[in-house]
Amino acid sequence: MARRAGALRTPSPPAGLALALSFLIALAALLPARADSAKSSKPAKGSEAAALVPGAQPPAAETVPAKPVNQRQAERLLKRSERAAAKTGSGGGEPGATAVAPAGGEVRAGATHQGNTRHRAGSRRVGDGAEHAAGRQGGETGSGESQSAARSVAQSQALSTKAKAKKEREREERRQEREERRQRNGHENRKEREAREAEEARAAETPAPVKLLEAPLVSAATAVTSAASAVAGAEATTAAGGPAIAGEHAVESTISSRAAARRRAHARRSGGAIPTGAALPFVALAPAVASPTSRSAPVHGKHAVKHSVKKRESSPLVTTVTRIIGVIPTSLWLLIAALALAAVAFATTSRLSARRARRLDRQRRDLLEDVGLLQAALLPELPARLGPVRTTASYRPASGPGAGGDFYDVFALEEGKIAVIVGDVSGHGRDALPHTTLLRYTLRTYLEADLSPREALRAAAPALERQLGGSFATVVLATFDPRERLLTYACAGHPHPLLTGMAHDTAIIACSAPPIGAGRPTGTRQTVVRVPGAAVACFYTDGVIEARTGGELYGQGRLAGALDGLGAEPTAASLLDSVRDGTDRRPDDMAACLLGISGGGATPEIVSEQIELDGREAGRNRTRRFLLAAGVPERRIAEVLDSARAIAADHGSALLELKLGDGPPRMTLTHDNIAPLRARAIARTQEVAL
Amino acid sequence: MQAVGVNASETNSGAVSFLISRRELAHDTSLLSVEGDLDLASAPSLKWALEDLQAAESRNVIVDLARVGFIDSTALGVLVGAQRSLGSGVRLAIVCEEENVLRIFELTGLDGMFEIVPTLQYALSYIQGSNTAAG
Repeated sequence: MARRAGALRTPSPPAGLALALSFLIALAALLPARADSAKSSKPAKGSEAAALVPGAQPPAAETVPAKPVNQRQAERLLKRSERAAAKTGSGGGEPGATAVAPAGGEVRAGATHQGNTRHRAGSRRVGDGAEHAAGRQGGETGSGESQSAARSVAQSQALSTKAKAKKEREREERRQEREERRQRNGHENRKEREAREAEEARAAETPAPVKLLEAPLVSAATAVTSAASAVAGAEATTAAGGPAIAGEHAVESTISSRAAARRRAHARRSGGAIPTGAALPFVALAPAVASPTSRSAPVHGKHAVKHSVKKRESSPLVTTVTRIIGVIPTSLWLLIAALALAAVAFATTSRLSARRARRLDRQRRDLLEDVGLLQAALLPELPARLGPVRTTASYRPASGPGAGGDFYDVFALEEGKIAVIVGDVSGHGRDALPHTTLLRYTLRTYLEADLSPREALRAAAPALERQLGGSFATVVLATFDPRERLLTYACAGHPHPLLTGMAHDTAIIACSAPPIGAGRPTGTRQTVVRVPGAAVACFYTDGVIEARTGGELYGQGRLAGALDGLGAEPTAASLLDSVRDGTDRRPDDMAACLLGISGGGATPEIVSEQIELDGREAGRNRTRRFLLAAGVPERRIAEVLDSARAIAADHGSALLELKLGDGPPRMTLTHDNIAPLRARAIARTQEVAL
Repeated sequence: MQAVGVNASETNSGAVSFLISRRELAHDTSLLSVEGDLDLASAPSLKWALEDLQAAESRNVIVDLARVGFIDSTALGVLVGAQRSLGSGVRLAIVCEEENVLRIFELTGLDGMFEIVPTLQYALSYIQGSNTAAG
């Protein structure tokens, strides 16, 4: 017996169950006579019960020879088993697991070892009930618990003669009621009919003395099944008249805790959980939801039809709900089902898209991080200061988060000098990225080789032009020497820098050098500005001054005004913010780089202009304009240009330097001073000359 | 006159129409007349028009920017590209009197790269071999 108990499937074997089982063992030992008679009538057991109860767990049947026990003992057992059942019902995770148990000691469902036809029929019938339930619920059952509970109870029951008489009467009543219900439901299967006949036959005789009940399980989660209502019926009976076998033969109860039973039955119907340790011994758990499909809902409790009816009447809620559900037409059910399916589909879709959105968001963050890293490689983090100079830079792409065609760099050179590179490659966005890196690092290298900005441009441009592949780039290179307080810059197709304290149109724009990649020599101009006092040098890309405000260009004038308006310590970011606020359309990338030079109140002034002239340039009108703008007297222009042409004829180009100051500029004409970079060419020329 | 490209560049003050028209002149010369602002939005139209001329193997090209109020770096890049892709015997002249545009050419150092003349007559003279209008 203990072995069998171990074989039972109990998901979470409760301690109470073990106790009940041990008690059963003891009882079995105390009831030898009954057991013997039972065994002699039918030695084979268990397997048949399993065969008869399709939905049940395999060796569901347990046979315990039982004999009458005294009332008190039975009551104790009942309570104990009930606790066990309640515990397993609620703790075993089986929703609405049902356990049915006999009170009267007569074996009913599933107990087959008695071997008599009546009993088999009875068990078969209960098996049917279980089958209904199991079939609808996919066979999920809570059999182990209910069986154990039932078993322990059954053993304790003794049937008194008086009880038999009463039971017979009540059985008849229940039968009639079941008949009525069957007629109502229009459904009666053959097995049930057979079972009923067998039952009637049995009722005619004196019932067998003591049999052990093996309760078939009624499936868990029988919310919407006929089994649910069947069990509910059983519950009603139980509550009213005492213990009942699961939808089967009622037995005389030796226990009456009716009030508690009623409460529990009611609670069960309305979905409440069964309180542990409640007084009702035999628990038939059924989810309270009355089933609309309770077609075959035989009344299983045989006792107390009146009570049963009374019980139903006393639950108007259930009755009402059942009625309402009963009148819902099939088409409406179909509609409800379709809506439910749609809801499930929508929920699934929604969940999937939420997940996808989360994934995309994560990928986007990752990408932005990558872009940020790449952008940091292109647009370096500047130190807040380089020596005595505050440095800030800012970059605003025209579209998207990534860097585009603008680039900048600020770095320290030897002897405390500071170098600045700001440039713009034609086109923007990612297509321009390879070119911006190429330009920035190449130009930086030339500047770090201690070339002046113009020399760096002059030397780097031919190499860069070959690699730009048709693109062109504008760039401004600058160095600042804090000791001399001289800012030297050279532009290649790029706007001149602004200096606070100096008019924005002071720089001579005639004869500006062309961009890198335009097919013409560049690095032909250089300007030196002395910065005696405090000033801010602003390097920027043309996207800043080509921003639009009301259809007009933002322009250098407005930019200079914005720079002045930012106070003593402006930052590039605040300057670009100001530009953004002052414009309505910014079609190009914007970059700005500021050098904050501290000092007194003296204003900056241009001290030197350089221009490199070849023979053709020396003869052009724009060169004349340049000389005039620089303050060269008209009468000396022809003389200067003639000398330049002569030098260019010998050396390819002439470098004209104008020292600006009070009065006419002092002019110096030399030949190309980047000769060291063309040493090989010059040597070859000399060889030819020799 | 045949319109070869129409574009609209929007500003806050309203839509400013942009138009490029093409005319065949004597001496195997094509004239592209541009009207409106040459910026990021309209530069591609100019580029396509110039590419059409190259495909048509025009010997000389005059780009008339007399009615252009602004030219940005993108459009300048288009002109630079056209100048560089022209063959050795082909001449490109730009007609422009607008100060803003001339200043942009000057600022970017591209005024030395193109033959920029004030009127169409100067352009024709340059095309025909006269170099008197050289800037």
